[in-house]
Amino acid sequence: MYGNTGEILLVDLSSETLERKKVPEEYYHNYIGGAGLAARLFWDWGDFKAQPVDPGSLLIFMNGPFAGIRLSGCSRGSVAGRSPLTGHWGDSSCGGHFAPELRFAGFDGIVIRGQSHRPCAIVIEPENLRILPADEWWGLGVFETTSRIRAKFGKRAKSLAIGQAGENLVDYACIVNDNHHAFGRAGYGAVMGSKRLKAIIVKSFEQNYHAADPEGLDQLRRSIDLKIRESVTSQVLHENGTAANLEGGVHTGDVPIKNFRSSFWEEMAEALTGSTLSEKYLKNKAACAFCKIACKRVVEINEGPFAIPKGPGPEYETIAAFGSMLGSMDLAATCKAGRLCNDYGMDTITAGSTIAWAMEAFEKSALTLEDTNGLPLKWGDMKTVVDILLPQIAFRNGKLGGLLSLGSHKASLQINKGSGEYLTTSKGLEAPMHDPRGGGHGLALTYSISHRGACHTANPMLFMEMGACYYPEIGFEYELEPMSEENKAESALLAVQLGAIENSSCYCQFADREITIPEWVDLFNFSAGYNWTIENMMSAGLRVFYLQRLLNFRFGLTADDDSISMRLLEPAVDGAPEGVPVEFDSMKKRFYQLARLDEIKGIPDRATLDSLGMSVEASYVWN
Amino acid sequence: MKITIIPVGSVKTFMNETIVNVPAGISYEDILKSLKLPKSLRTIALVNNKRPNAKQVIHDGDELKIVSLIMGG
Repeated sequence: MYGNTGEILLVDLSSETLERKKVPEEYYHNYIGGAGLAARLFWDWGDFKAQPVDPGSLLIFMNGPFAGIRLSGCSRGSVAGRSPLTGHWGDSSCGGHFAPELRFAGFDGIVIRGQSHRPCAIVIEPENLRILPADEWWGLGVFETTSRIRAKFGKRAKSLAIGQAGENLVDYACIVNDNHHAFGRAGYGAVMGSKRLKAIIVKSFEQNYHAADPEGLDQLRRSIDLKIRESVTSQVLHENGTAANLEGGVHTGDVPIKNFRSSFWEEMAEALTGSTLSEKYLKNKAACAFCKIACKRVVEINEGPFAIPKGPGPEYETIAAFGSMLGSMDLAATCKAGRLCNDYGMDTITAGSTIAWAMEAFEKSALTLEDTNGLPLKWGDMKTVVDILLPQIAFRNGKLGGLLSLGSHKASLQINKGSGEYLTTSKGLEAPMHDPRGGGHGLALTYSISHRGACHTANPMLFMEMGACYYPEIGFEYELEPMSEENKAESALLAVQLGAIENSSCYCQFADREITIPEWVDLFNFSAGYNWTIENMMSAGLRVFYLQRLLNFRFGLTADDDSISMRLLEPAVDGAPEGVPVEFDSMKKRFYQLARLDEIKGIPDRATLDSLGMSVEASYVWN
Repeated sequence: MKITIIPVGSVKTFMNETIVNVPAGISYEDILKSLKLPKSLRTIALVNNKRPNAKQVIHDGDELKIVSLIMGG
C-alpha cells in the first residue's frame, strides 16, 4: 500500500491488549482516510447503544493519506466517535506534530475501546507497543503532563494529553498535542478521561513516507508549497496569525459580539485584532509539522492581572470567544483564558460561548445569584471568567461549575426559564466565531447540515463565500455575495464534498485554498495511489458526507435536527448586516433537493446510496 | 468632492487611510478599481459602515471602508 500504511492499532484498555489490524484497501479508496475512514470503522465496529463515556464507546484517531509528506498543512489528524457534548456522531481535527509521527511509527490510526482500571498511557514505538500506568500524571494539567512525558520519553516524542477537564468528564474537554494544538471540539477529551487514558505517546525512528509516485509527488509538493508560501493569505496569517483580519470581520459583521446580540463594535476591532496581538504580546511564531505558513502564536504577558509566561498564544476563535463574545476587549484576558483552557484541556469555543450564554441568562434572570452561588455574571468581567469560572468548570466545582461543564445546550435544558432563546448552537454544538448574518448566509445552511453541529471547518463554505477559492472544474466559478441566499444551496453541495475530502485527508483549510481540483487529484494519486479522476474524488467526498448522516440517523437524528438557533438567523440590529434577513428555510429546502435528502429522515434516498456503492449501508436505514 | 478611504484589517498592508478628491456621480466600484489592490485580496466595501447597493453613488464627505475578507478559523 502507498501513502497509508494499511494498519491501525487496536487497543482494548479493559483487557490491556494492543493489536495491529489491517484495514481493507477499498476502505481508503471509498472513504479517503481521517474523518471519513473513522466514520467507516465506527459503522463496522461501533456500539450504537454505548454512551460516549461508557467503556464500550470507541475513540478513533485517524490520519489522512498525506500525513508525513513535507508539504504545508497536510499533516493534520482526526479524532472521531460519539460526542459527549452532542450525543451523536462527531469528529475533530488537530494540527501539530502527532499525525505524521504516528504514520512514521507505522500506523494510520488508533482505535480505542474499553476502560482501564487505573490511569494509563498508550506508548507507540516501533516494535514496542505498550500500555503504561499513569497514576502519577492523573490530576495534572496538560502542560505539566507534557513536560513529564518529554522528560521520560525525550523531546522527540510526540504526545496527546488531557488535562483535568477530561479527567472530570467536562462535556467539551479537548485533547492537546504538545501543549499547543488541540482536537478542540465536541468533547473527545472526556472520552479519553472516561477510559482513564491520560496520554498517548508516539515516537518513530525514521521519517519514511512510501509514495506511489515519489518523483511526481516531489515535484507537485514543491509547486504547491511555493504557491502556499507566496499567497497573500499565507503572508497575512504568518505575520499576524489567524486573528489577522478580526478587525475586518468586525466591519463585515462576521465577529459575534455579546452572545451574537450585536454585529459591530469598532473600538474592540482594533483592540483584539491580530496585529495588536503581534505588537503587544507576540514572542515567536510557530508552525504545525512541515508548514511554511506558521500561523501559530507564542505569547508572553509580563504584568497585570492576566500575566502569563511565554507559551502558546490564542487563535482567532479563542480571541473572539473570550473577547467580543463576552463583551470584553481585553486582549491579555483572551491570552490567559486560552492558556488556561489549553492546560485544563477545554474547547475554547464552547467554553466562551457557554459563559456568554450564562451571562445573558443572568442578565435576564434565567440564572440567579442562588444558581451562581452569589457570583454575579457580568459582560466583560474577565477576572471572574479567568479566576473563577474556568477553574470551576474544569473541576466541575459547585452548582455553577457543574452546570456550565455541560455546555450551553444541555445547561439550557436543565434550567429552562426561556434560556433556550440565548443559545447559539446547532445539534448541541456551539457555533464558531463566524456570524452567518454578516460572515455569509451560506454558513447558516452549512452550520445546520454539518454532522457534528455548528461548524465552520466541516466544509469550506466560509472561504467560498469570501471568494478565497474557485473550482471551475467542478462548477464553482462564480462570486458569491455573502449576505444573500443566491447560489448558496448549490455551493453548499460542493462545499460538503470538498469538506469531506479536506477532513478525510486531514488538510488544513488555510493552506489548501491554493490547491486546484486537478492538483488535489494528483496529490491523492501520487501519494496514496488511489488512481482517481475528479469524479472519483468528489464521489468519495459525497460518500463520506452521506455516511456521516447515516451514522447520525442511527443515533436518532432526523431532518428536523438540521436546524440552527434563532439567534443566528434573526436580522442583525447593527453593523453591516443590520436588518438583512437570512432565508434559511428556502436554502435548506433547496439543498435537500440537490443532495437528494429525505425531508423527514434527513438521509439520502436508497437509489443515491446504491449509486455510490452503499447498498449495504442503505439496508440499515431503508426497509 | 472629497471622501475618506479607510483600509480595514489586512488591507492596511497595501494602502493607508487617505482623503481623495473624486468626481461627482462616481460609484464605489469605480473607486475600488482605481485602488489597484492585489487581485488575490478579496475585499468588500462599506459606505458609512453599511454595505452599498450595486452602483451606489458616493457623496461628498462619505467614508469608504475597504475591508479584507480573509477570515480566521
